[in-house]
Amino acid sequence: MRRVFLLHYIVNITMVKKGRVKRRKRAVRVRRARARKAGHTGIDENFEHFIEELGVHHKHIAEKHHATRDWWYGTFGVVGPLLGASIGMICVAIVAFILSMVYAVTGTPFISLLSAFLNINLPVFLLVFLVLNYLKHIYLSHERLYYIVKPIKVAFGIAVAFWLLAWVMQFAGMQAGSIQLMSASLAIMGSLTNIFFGFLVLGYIVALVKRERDLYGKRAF
Amino acid sequence: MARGRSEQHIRRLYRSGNDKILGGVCGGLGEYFGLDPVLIRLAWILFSLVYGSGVLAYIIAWIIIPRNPNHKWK
Repeated sequence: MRRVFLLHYIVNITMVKKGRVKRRKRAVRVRRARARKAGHTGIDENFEHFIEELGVHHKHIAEKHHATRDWWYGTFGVVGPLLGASIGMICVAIVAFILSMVYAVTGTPFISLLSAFLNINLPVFLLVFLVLNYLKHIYLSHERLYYIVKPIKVAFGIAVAFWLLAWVMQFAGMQAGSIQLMSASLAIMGSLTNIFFGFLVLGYIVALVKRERDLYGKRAF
Repeated sequence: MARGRSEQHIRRLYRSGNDKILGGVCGGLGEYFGLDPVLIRLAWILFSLVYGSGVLAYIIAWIIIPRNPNHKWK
């Protein structure tokens, strides 16, 4: 008899507790619905909106970029990359000029070194832009070559970025008298080939996965 | 009841869906303070020149400030 009573008691307590939890959850739901109706959203919902809006902006920018790119290559054809590279080189020359002006005002040796570096390496920049633009032209005009050429372009671009970074670090090291920065810069310069091939392999892996997905759809994964 | 009334009287800061370029933060601030959003955008550009702090502040405001429920959001 006692056991039955105890069992009933436990069941009742559990039911009451469950009821309370249910009521609480319902109250929270109602409160949230009211807040939403009044326009007061929680931080999680705001963050969702933020991500959603970022996605919309990204899509819009990508569409515009593709339209401009198509117009550029459609209008100028094979000359397009050459023209793009020339414009890129002019931009670098302008940056170098602005830096030299800044140096004239501030007198910072770092800025002078950077400006001189950009000026001396203008032909190198032209060559880099030419290679990058023609590689892009190849994979845009021959769809079959997309997965072969794009990783080369990306790896080359990253290697060039590291080369630039290494020089900037070198100049910063010279300015600050930091041996660590200069030795790090030398280490990066010494491993540029490794960086290129490393990113090339990584690029081919990504391209392979992307190609599989493009061919067989998302169901393959 | 009284709490509900007091809640109704609070002027809420929202992001604007009608006057927006990125997230509608400057537009929302303009609506809230009754100022031209262009002035707020100019102030934001100046603020951004200080080590890019304006950019960070804008992103935080974009996340924290809710959308205006009375505006259209695409």
